[in-house]
Amino acid sequence: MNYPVWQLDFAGGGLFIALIAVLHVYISHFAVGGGLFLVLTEMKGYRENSSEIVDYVKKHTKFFLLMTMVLGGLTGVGIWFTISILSPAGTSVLIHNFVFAWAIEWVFFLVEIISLIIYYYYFGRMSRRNHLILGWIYFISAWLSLFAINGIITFMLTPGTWLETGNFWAGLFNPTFWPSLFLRTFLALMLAGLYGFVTATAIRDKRLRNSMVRYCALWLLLPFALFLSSAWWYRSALPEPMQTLIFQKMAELTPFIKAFYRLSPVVFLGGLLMAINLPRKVTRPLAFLMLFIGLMYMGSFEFIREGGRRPYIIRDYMYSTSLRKAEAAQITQDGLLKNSRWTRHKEITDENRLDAGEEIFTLLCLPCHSIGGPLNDILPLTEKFPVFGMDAMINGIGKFSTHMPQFAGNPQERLAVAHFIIERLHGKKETRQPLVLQEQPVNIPPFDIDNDKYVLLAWNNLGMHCISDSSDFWSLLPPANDIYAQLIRRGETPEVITDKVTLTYRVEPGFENPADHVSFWKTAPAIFGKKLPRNIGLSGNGLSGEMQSHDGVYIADLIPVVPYPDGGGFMPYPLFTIEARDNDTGELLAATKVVAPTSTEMGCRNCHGGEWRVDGRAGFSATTARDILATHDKLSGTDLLTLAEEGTPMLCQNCHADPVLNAEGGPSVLALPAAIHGFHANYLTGRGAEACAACHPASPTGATRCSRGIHDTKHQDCTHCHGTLEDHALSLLKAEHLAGKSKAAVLMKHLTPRMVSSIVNVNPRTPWLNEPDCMTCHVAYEKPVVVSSYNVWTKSGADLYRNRKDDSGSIYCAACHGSPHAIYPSENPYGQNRDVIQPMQYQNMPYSIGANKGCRVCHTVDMTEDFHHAHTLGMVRNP
Amino acid sequence: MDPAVLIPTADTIPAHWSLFQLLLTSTTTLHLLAMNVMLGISVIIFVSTVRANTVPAPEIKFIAGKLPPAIAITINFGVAPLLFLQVLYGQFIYTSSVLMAVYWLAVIPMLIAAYYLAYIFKYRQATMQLGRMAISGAVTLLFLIIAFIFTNNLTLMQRPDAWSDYATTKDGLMLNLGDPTLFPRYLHFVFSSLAIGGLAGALYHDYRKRRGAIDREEMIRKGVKWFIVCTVINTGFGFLFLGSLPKGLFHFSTLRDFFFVLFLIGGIGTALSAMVLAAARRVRPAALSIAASVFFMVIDRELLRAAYLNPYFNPTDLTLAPQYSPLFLFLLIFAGGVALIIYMLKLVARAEEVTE
Repeated sequence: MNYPVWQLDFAGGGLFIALIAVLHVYISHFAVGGGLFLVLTEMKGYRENSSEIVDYVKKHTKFFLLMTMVLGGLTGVGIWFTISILSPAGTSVLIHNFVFAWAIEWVFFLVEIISLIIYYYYFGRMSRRNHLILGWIYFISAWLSLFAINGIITFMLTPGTWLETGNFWAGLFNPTFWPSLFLRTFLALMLAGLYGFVTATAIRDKRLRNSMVRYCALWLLLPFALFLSSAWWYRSALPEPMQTLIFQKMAELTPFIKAFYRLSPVVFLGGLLMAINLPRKVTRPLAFLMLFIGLMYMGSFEFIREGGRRPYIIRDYMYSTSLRKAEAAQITQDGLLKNSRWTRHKEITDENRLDAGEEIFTLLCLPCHSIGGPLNDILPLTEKFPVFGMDAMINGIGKFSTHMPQFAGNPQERLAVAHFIIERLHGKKETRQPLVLQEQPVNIPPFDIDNDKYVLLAWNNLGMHCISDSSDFWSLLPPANDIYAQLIRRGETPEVITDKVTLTYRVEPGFENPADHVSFWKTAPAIFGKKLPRNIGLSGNGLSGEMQSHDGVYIADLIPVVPYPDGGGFMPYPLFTIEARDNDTGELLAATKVVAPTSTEMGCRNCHGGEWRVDGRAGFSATTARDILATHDKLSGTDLLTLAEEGTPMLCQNCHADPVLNAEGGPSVLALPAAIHGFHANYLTGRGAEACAACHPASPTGATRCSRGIHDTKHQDCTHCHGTLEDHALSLLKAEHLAGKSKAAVLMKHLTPRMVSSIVNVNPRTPWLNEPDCMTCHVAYEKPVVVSSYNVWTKSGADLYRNRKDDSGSIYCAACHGSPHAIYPSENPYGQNRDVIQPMQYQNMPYSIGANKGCRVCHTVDMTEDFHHAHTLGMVRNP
Repeated sequence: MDPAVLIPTADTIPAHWSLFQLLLTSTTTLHLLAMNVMLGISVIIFVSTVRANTVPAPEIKFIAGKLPPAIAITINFGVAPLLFLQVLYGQFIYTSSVLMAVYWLAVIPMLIAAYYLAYIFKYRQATMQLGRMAISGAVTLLFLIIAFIFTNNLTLMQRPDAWSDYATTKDGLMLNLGDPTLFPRYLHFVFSSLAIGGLAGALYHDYRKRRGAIDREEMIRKGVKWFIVCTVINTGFGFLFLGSLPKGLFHFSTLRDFFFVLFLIGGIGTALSAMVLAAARRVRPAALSIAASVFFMVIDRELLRAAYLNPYFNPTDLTLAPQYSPLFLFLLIFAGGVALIIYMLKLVARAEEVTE
């Protein structure tokens, strides 16, 4: 970054250049077409022997001279001044590469002004022939001036083979040179008619006025079809990605494209209207109105052209930030500040973060964004973000919406800009204090190791379970919690009981009325296609009921528990009481309690804005839910927000396949886990487990803290098993890519694996089925040597921890070791014993069932053989 | 901070630097001559409106008609040197322009205003009273302000040591007011304009006189007087400017320094001869002599810039990536353009003959 930057705030985003450029092109095109108009109209006057027409031309020449030579000429110089201030590096490239094109244009400009001055000053004072010669000299030099400038303007949009060769001619006669030249020439002729209206309607003689107004209308209307054809040619000459960007991807350009389409017939009809003999009091104001409409028309075209060049000032060569494309990677690696000549800060410290952030903002953002100004105002665009979300947004820009360049700086610099935008521009000061969680004691159910005949083990099959209470707008995961239980009859040879008993479950008081707290039941018909009784979940289970025996285990599936107790607040670990009774006698055989984790602490608001809906700590606000749909609609061309607001919210899995809901999805649509992780990974690169906690309820300072098992205690975070977010996402995306889904490549393009050397080495996987395998680290149930299980996936659902059983094939791993993500000894943030109820109940210690040779819990006697798996008789390794 | 660190990296040039230096020097001369005439005319018009009773109305009308074309030519002749300056010294002029962006951009609206006011004056001066003085005064004032901004930018660009003020002045409001050469240099250029404006008037009336007009002697006398008085004053400002240059800028040991002195002597000598010739009513040789003086001074102006920038940069440092075919096309078109202009002027002369 070579040059200092003029610190514009309100007028940032190229306001000056937009104003002066639109004005200039509107006049300078008139200067070309109007030149031909002058000389041909003068000839018409002579031909028709009409001194009135010649007089009109003379008066029009004065108007023409005052308009084009003063305002046109000086705004042209003004553009040059402006671009050299706002984009000196880009201007320098244009000047140094095309100095002789500029110099040639200067010669034409000189001939133009001298011929025009003489044409005007000697109107009627020299022979007709010589005067007409001067008129032709003027027009031809003006058109040649356009010819030269056209080459440079189109070069910026489509530099063509200049990028490889650096050849002057290749740059000048680039792929859009000719269509643009034709388009501008026809436009210039049309403008001659438009400007002609202004002077023609001022003629006092009615007959002459009507005649000249009609004449001007012909100038406007005759080239119209050729103009539109050239516009189409111009569009076709653009490279395909640019066409897509302009006409489909860039929402910012839509108003200008619409304006161009809508104003085309307006200009044409306006011309027709002028052609009929209307009274002067109508045509006079109409002439000025048409001139203004013409300005809007041309302005919209120029905005589209300028917009289409984004994020470059010279396409594929130099970004609007003045950074050369070839330098971007190096600067991203080394840091922007170090590589910028004019920055005061070279390193970021806690003290200078905001000032350094401002310097980076000035270099990278101000070229296109204003602060509170009319063009690309940064304030509304960033209003929704906290610092984290802003940082993530900057992390991801330019990856999918290619009209912005990717951030050219290191992560510290990125964060500094985020701090500057949020704290200084928006005045938000974030205080990130860990939430204080109220401990809620658990009464451990009784157990008499000498006399009780049964042991009842229960667990939740996911351990970290989210629900999206956003179903007014969309649903990702409905309230649906699965509780598993195994009843063991104690004895020297214990027996898993699967019949003649009834197992029931019952949520703790206060959680029986989820329908009072979430809109799931209201929107279920739209989202799930069925009307559900209040407080009854998708499988027909309620908050209490009987568990079903299935393949050696009792299950209560899809229990619609939510983390909102009736008294208010947020409690993501409600307890369920499980009881086993004899079918015949009704005798209570055993009872225990288990946590059914259910959290709405999904961190979407970190980037999508909005507040927590409940208690300042969890739940989707409408703002957040709405923004998610709006973003999806913008990026994927859907209409989900409108549908939702019209009463048809959607389930994400309607389109996106997802094994967790047995959803097949659309054939070309990415599976939900791949899409959601793949997309967001692009915004959260280079991070550790905090990237996971940005969305999942795993933040160590949050309201759920659901990574609460022994792995967490031993400082093993999400990435040790799942990989970093990039690795995690790539494993999912690669499977989609191999399945032929083209969109996977879009999400993979900017992701680099961090735990393996390249994408080639990433093992593809199916979500929910191919997951980290415990045995990768716990080889032969021994203490792990290497703590990383990324890239070694369970072969099928049967190998998952939650589905796996011991060597006997009868006891689930989770029955003794606890729920996934809450492996014993687990520490629940809402109370020491909440996640270790059964170990405490049966062993009075928080370790796995049977730990420390505690075989008597089930066997009633001490055992001497590693029956369930190797090391069963070992002592606890992590007391 | 080391000023050298702030200097942006230069882009490559497509032809040898000396070619651009030649183009820069010659077009700057043309621009300055045109600008001198333009500014000189505007001051003369203003003074004429102040002394409304002593200056005949046709005279004011006549001069007023010349101002807008003079503005047009000055602007056009300004484009070329600014282009070639950017080729050779882009990294400096872009930087200084950004540093004083507000003033630099303000040149454009001020120029537009001055231009339109000049036309208003031309078309309406006969029917105005106080407005004549106000408008001509405003035009002159605008030109003087624009000249001051130009002087600031073209001196700030050659002083990277002053650029570090950017750290506290990022709003484009920096000027080069701390430079002791600023005001002497500015006044030197302004008085040069006054002088040459007078001589241009004398030259025109001399032309008319040669073509048979009989009432031009008084106008020639006034123009010459104006030229001589202003040149004498300007010689003083010239020496003031010379004396304000930083000590040690020239060591008089290099070829560059030798040429500086040589062209300085040449510039002063030709200015003196112009005065002598003008006093003898030999207006055309006087004009040629003063044009030569301006040319020599422009060369010194270039050498002065080179001396200022010597610690940091020399145009010979620029990387050459030659592409000569565009140059040849330019030269061809330039020659064609000049031929066309001569042809058009001949058409004018023919029209004048017919009129007379």
